[in-house]
Amino acid sequence: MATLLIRFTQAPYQSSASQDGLDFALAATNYGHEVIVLFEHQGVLQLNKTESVRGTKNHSKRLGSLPFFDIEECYVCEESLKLSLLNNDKHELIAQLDASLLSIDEKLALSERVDHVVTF
Amino acid sequence: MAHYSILVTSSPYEGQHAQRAVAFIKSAISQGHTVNNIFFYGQGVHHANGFMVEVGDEFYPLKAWQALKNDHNITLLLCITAAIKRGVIGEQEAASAGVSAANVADGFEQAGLGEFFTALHDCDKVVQF
Repeated sequence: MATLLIRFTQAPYQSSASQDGLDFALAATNYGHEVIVLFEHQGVLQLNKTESVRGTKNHSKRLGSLPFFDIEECYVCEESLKLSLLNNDKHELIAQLDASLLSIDEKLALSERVDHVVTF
Repeated sequence: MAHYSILVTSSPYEGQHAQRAVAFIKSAISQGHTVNNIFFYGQGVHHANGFMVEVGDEFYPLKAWQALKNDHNITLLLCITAAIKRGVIGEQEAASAGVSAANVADGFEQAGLGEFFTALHDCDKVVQF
């Protein structure tokens, strides 16, 4: 069993990366690996709840399912959150996922305690 | 000596990711490490498109992947779900979807995330390009 840190670094509908990353994270737990997620850079925008649009998978709704796949360690880069254009109270998924904010030093420590780091 | 699994999520001509990946793999092997598999996922599935044609003066990733497989017995795993929705399909999917041709290049094996994560249990390091 390996511990994977999966970094989400892009805005939710900017490219297919967010969706690919989420599929990747959910599959990892199905095969006996432990997953920790970190939202960084534009990835913090994924923490806003968005409306469903026909023809597009609702990313924020899918992210809400992380705890059901035993992904319980969720982190958000504090610095990226400060730089995001939205107020913190708009990032409703932070509370829903019980995510903790990390400083730059804490992010480094996190990347050192996992086996693999994968970025989407 | 470490066992590596390589994850390719960038498309063939996106920056120099493919060239760097190939150089990294060759170097790792020459230093005695083992590369178990290369998993093509997300936009990386375009690497398996056998309809790509070599342009003389540019690095041609497809040939490099096939050489790695032939020379070093590295498994080239293609995520089938990510690939079919991007138009990289095998004979069977082409037949069932009524598409006129299949284009998964020689040497690539269609697989799921499951194969990648199962193989990961025996790998020490994952490197993503």
